[in-house]
Amino acid sequence: MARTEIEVGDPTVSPSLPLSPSSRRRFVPANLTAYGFLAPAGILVFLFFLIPVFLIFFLSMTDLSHSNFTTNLMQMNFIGLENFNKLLSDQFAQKIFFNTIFYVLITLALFNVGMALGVSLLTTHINRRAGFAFRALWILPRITPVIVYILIWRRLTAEAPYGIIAQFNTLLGQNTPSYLTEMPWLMVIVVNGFVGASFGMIIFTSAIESIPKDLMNASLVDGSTVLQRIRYVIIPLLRWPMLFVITYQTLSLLTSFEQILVLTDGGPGLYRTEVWALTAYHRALSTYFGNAQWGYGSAFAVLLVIIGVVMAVIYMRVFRFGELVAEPKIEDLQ
Amino acid sequence: MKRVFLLIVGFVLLGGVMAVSAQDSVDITVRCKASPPEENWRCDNFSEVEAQVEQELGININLNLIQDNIGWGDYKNEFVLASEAGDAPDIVLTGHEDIGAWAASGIIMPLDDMIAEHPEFNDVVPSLWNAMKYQGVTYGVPQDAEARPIFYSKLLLSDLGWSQEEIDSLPDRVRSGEYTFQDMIATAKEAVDEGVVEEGNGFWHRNSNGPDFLYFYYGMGGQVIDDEGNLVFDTAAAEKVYDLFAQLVDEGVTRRDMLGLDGNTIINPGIANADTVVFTAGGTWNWPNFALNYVADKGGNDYLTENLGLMLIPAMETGSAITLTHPLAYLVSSTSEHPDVAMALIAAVTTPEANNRHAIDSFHLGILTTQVDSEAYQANPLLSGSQYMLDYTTSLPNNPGWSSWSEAYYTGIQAVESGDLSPADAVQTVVQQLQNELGDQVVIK
Amino acid sequence: MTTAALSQPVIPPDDSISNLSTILRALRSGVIVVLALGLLAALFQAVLSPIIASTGVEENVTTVLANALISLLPVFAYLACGSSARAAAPRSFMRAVIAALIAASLLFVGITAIESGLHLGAFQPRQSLQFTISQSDDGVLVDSVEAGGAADQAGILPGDLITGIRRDPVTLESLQKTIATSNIDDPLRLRIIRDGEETQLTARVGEGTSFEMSTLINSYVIALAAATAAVFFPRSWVAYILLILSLAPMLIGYAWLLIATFSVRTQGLLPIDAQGNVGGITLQNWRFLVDPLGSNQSVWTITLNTLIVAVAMTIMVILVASMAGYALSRMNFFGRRTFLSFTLILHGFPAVTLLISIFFVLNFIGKIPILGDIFGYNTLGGVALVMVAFELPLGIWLMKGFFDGISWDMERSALIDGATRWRAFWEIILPQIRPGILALGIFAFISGWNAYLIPQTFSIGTRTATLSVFLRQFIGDTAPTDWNQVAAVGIFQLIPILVLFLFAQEYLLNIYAGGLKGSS
Repeated sequence: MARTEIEVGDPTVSPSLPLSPSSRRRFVPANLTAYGFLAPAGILVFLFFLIPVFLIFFLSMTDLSHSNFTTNLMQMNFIGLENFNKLLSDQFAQKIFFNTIFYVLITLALFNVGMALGVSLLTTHINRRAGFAFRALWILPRITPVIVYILIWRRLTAEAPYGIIAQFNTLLGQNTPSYLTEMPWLMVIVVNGFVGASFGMIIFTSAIESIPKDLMNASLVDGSTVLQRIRYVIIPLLRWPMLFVITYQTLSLLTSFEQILVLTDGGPGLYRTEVWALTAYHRALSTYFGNAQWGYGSAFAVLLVIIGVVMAVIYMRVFRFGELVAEPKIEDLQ
Repeated sequence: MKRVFLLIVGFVLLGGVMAVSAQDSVDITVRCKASPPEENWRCDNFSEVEAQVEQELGININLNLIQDNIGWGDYKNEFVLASEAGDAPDIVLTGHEDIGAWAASGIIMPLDDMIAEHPEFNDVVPSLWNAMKYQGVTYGVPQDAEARPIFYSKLLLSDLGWSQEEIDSLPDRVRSGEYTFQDMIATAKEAVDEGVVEEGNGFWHRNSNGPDFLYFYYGMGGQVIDDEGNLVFDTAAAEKVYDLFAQLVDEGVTRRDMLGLDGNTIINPGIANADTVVFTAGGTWNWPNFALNYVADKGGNDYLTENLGLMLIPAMETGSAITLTHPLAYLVSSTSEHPDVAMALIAAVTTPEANNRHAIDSFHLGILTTQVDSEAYQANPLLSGSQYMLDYTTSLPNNPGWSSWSEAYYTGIQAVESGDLSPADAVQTVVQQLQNELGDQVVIK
Repeated sequence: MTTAALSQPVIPPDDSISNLSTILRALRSGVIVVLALGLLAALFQAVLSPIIASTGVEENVTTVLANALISLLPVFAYLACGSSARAAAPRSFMRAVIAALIAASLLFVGITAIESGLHLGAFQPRQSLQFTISQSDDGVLVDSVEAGGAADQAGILPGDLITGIRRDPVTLESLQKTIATSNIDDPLRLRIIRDGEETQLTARVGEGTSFEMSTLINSYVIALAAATAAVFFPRSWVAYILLILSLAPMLIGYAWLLIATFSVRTQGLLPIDAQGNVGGITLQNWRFLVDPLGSNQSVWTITLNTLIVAVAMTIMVILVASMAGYALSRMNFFGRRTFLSFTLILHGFPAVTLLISIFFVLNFIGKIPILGDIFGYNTLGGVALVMVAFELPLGIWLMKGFFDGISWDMERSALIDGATRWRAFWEIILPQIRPGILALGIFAFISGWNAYLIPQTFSIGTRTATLSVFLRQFIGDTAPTDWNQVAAVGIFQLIPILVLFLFAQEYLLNIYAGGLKGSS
């Protein structure tokens, strides 16, 4: 990846210029300036991520709910690991767990990576303006309010006479299945996939566009076809973006539930399309009759957090995180 | 770049400019959830009586009404969080079943003493007070009540060959217990078999969890709460309920995908147009919505009156017809600085005049005995014709564990209706879930 | 279309031999496609499906995909024939077409033989009432009834006039369609006029003849058309066709959305009036633009609110994230690695699971004098801080990536000249990463514009009313929802960000170039 090789961490560019003796910043410890720049973000992250994450571990060991709600940690009923015990003895926990894996893998393969790659390859090989237009259309699902987006899908797949697919089918004299009940998983995957594909699409497109033009031209001069160019020039260069999208989107899919909530709410029947994050939401925030079980819900969330951390650790390994967080050389200035 | 700074500072300051001016008037905040526009009197009634209460008490009331239509889950969380933060509204309107959990956590105020001070409250239909109590103490004042009847399509029954007389007498035959739930299933099945309606369109019920499913359990002789106030799960009654739901889908009377079916695309237009489904379990408040949203251009209310009828839930095991009421209640926050003023306001809206505005616009039943006889109420044939349903009504229990009970019970219905479990297995599953989540808070019978 | 299309052109040595070889080549690619897709379908159906089923997941995605592959398989095969014929005979279209047609015909015979064995396509049994009908002025006239057939059993007589099914009026066409889309043995309630009197009869759909010549002819025409089209089809259009096909559900869906906002009700893509005819166009769904509709504020006030929230949030996110990104990219300090790793993990946290514990924090802040009135629970400031915090993981990494990507020469000389770190950052570095700022700004603006969960959870009522909150007002959980109204409000909310995105797309493309690059 020629263009990205010149980085701050590039050891060939060593800062060897002498310091100006008049520089006063020499007396300001570098750490202090750094912490000054970092302070706003640090405070926000500390307040709204770090503390809440620790709190959620604590809450998962209490029986906090509407009926005994308090923010005073001392007043809560500490029940140890009982919530986790409950959770693991839940007869549907296993089903929901495998549902989640199935959902993440299939959606990732078909859409978040597969479709994203297809769309970015196609849109970078046509007229530039047209490519922009198609990508803008692909972004639509992501920026449409979830309720409206799901409304569209419901109408597309509704039964006759309301449904749009049903209308086309009727014109052709075909039967229309009741998509949402007969193939709920397909609906869940497609609906989430159309939202998810745009992330990979942006990353892949931007990576393809940043492939040096001479590399592309060279392949054209060689007389290779479009497909050969994709296979031998583009795909190999997409290795890192691909890994990035896979890992990043695995995490996103693991924790996504809003579309499923509005579309099937985990149904039909017994937890057929229920995924882990949705269960956490069901338990913690939304029961029709109130009295949300925040303690129990936190236990579900804690498991999500743990899975997320494990995934992120793998993620860092894959990306040779050490290089990413390599110490900046400009510090040598001071 | 300086401008950017100014903008940020401005944004930050904006948050600070919420100083409530300290006058010698009394601030009262009221929080309501209402489906606009027909239910808006829930909060708007307070501004109608504001001047009157100010005069009575000789104070200046600064009334702050917050009314919207967010989901019940968000709405209830909001009150619990606001109470903890000390920002709770003085008066909150909610379903009576919250009294159990909220009284237990002490965020709402016992009202018995203050209720005695206002004669207006003597007029409230006595049976409604039962739903306002937790462990014998009253925590709320009823705001509205409804019945959850069955809508039947006169059009489709006549297609099936029923005479006008048979159709018109149906509600009375149901009321007397002559026409039972099994009779209704038989009629629905006939309609399906004869192709009058498509398969699965004989009887529809609610498409998501809610109070409605409890009347099946009551109808099968089940009990939710025992004399000591413990939650009860009656396995025999529950199995009969699950048998019934299995029968409904097996016979093709109810759609297998009923739960989760799109209400606004399929269910509501289907009921309102009276040409799709024979019987539907609904609620009285559906009526003005149907008139407004689905058949407005066909004649609205007149179209509905001509083609749809209302009847009680026909008798099941217990032998008598049944319905369920889920009264909403005004509760007073225990952090309220002026509970006396709040109660005076609540008393002022608990009058036939004020409540009629809400009842008539939104087709909720009257909560006051004198209101039922008032001219405005009698002038509305729908309301006066349905008032008898309150005599057959049941309600939800006020218990902190009710939410978990209801979720588990509903899981069983999902399981049998989708065909995932047999009724007997569903009972086992539900019992297991109840014991897992509620432990010894629930008695399995 | 296929790998065969890629093979290098061969120069034909002799006409007759090359004709034959062209046909064989085309046929070969057709067969390869049949086998490949068939194998893929078998993989889904026979391998993946049982594996997934063994985990307890109830899905039929694999089966549906397998069936879709099987039903599309013939068309793909004919396309492959044409495409490969053209590649094999690049000089002469004529020869390519002839080869393609012959190959497709041969393939068609093979596929039809398989279909007849499996009772697919033209050999599928179809539904019928076993009578003949014709359109007349008053309804559908029954011409003759097959003895002992479905119509006969229902008591339908020749000369009956069918006027409706259930409560819907019928025409010849709609009646035929209803029968064709019914299942065998489904009851159909027919409204019939006999001797001037209306009665209703129930007919059960029966099974008609199991072979239809017309279907077979249709599929042969499709085969020839596909093969010919593949020969002539301009290669440069393929990408467009594929893109349009993949977007079809969305294009049609959003078209419906637009239609719905001007309709009383819709069936399929058509607006329908009270009588069930096409019509019923209305501006009612857009009346929220002038009438607050039970909300406390007008939609324009709320839009302004939303704009303020989104813009303010965007500015704060850019400022905070770029400062942090600068420090992380340019300076070394204790805790740097930890902070970077932590922010990376953060993005995986679903906001919803942290809401309650964030409330604890806001509630705590609320108890601090003065500060609490600005940043506590139920304040605009508090809501803003949480929203900014949720954008930070992405923002910090994006900004750090952009800073990493620019040379530090200018900055270094500025520092040597005695500029402060802040001045170097503000005046020299920041202007250089304008594309990054714009990209982050767009992301932040979109999430600010669509914000719902956080303003809803951390404020009472609709104090921080945004358009999303306004939209939810129309969706009751007890009352039925006017979805056409929701569609109108949704489009209103969508338009500004769509426009923004169209204009700013070029900057988003810089993300990879500058920001989120992996290693290498």
